[in-house]
Amino acid sequence: MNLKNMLLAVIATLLLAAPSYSQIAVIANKNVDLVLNTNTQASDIFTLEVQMSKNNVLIVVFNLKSGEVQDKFYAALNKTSTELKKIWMKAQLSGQGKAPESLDSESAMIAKVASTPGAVGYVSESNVTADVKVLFVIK
Amino acid sequence: MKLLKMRCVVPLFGLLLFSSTNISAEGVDIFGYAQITLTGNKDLADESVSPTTTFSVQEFDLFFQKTLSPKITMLADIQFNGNYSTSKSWGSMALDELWIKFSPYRQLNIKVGKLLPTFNSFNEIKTKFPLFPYIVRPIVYETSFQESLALNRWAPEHAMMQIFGTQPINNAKLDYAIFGGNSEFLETEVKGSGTLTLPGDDTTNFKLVGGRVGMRASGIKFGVSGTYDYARNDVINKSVADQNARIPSINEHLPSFVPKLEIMPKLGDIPRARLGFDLSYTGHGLTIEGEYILVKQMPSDKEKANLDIIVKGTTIPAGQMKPYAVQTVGTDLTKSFWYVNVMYDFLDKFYASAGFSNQADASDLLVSKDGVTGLLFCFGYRLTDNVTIKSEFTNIRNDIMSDEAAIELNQIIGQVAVSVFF
Repeated sequence: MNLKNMLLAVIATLLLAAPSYSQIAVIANKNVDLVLNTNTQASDIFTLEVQMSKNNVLIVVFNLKSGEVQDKFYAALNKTSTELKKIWMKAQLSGQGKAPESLDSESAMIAKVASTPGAVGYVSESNVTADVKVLFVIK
Repeated sequence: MKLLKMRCVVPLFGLLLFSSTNISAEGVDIFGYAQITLTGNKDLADESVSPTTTFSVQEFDLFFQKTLSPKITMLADIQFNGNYSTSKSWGSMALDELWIKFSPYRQLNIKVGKLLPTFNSFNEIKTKFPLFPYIVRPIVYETSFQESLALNRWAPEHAMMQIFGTQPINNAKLDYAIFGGNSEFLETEVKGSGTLTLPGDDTTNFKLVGGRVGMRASGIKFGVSGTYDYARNDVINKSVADQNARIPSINEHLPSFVPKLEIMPKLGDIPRARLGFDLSYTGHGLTIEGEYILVKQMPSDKEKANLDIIVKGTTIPAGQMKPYAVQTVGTDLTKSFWYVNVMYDFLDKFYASAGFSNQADASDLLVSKDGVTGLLFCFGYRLTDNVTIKSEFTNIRNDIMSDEAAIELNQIIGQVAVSVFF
């Protein structure tokens, strides 16, 4: 094996071994009429400040329990896990909204969002299916 | 006839409102919280008072919430305080909130019922223990000091209607709220040498009005709040009533050449304005928050003259308390309060917090003319998302701003609490 082939093999190995940094997609049930253009607008949904879609459907937010996707999503919202939990608790105790249900996996998220009217959640973009619509891709 | 029409129209309107509302098939959400404490208390101002320790269920709140339609929500909060027990007459139970909210837009929400008004930042959450790090709240929000500090004279306790909303402006948000409610005159009335508890109806022809305007952006939140109503000054009037009750007996024993004491007038309804500022920053695990409240009364010339008579009449003669005469009531009815608190979350499970507050009542020359200060240190551990173990050391004293108060106040409070949200 000559040097060039060896280098190509090393590069290919590194590329295959590297983790996949898929973007995060904010997804919704197909009956949700909502337009999101910025991370701030996405943050307004997940901090329960906006609770109604354009077609007057009550928005139901879902969250992931843990994981890299959740970490990246929270970072995009510029909020820590503790801050979001406080925001959700305050909203619930003030009667302003309901803390989101946390789900174990992205497939559970897809299933829940697809089957719940008004649902909004998030998954990595590569895991989006045709059962849900994509509102926004986190930059 | 007009009154009869009103009495028919109001309940009919109520029936129409509820019969036309499309009640969804969703159930009622029931949730709540409780805080159980172990408190140790030592009075450093009076060595003869032994330290005390006690367990208590400080507070238990049960919430019922129902989404009646996408735009209409209702919430009820039933609150139990202080080891509540009717058989032992311990603690209290109250309907702390009961309201219906109509939210047609983010910019327009209407709440009607018994609600916690938006005044500064802490007022809305003052009873919601899981939301703040401390066990003893900033002084004017700490209900265990209600008896001595007449707390609702600082911040409005409840309102009955609030219109509020949020307007996004680029990446910032403008928050606004206006509210109205019953006046202060529905609770107790001072008669003779005691107080009479009224049934909770406001029999006055004036009400509380107020509001807040604020901005939020990048973790920073600030706002200006205000209220206008009439003050009853029942703390002063209680002193007047007590003193007046003693006057006939005192006069009976006075020598004939000594002028008889005269019955003092009570203070009447005095216009009162509150002004509040709030500022906070949250980010990177750090929360810094502070508030300022100023309460001014605008007595008429007649009330000022009455106040002068009360000041003279309630002065304690030399030799009874101090070697010199002690004036108990001041002619300035201004009150002020401020607090600052810094909290840091570390390792996601732990937090530490330190705070300082000062409450001053210029009319209370015995205890708080120059300020009752509170110094507190807290440490907490979040066992789970729903259970937090809190510990706190607090020192409440009135000799930091000045040492001229006639009654010294210096208490140390050590507490451990478990706060549960379910």
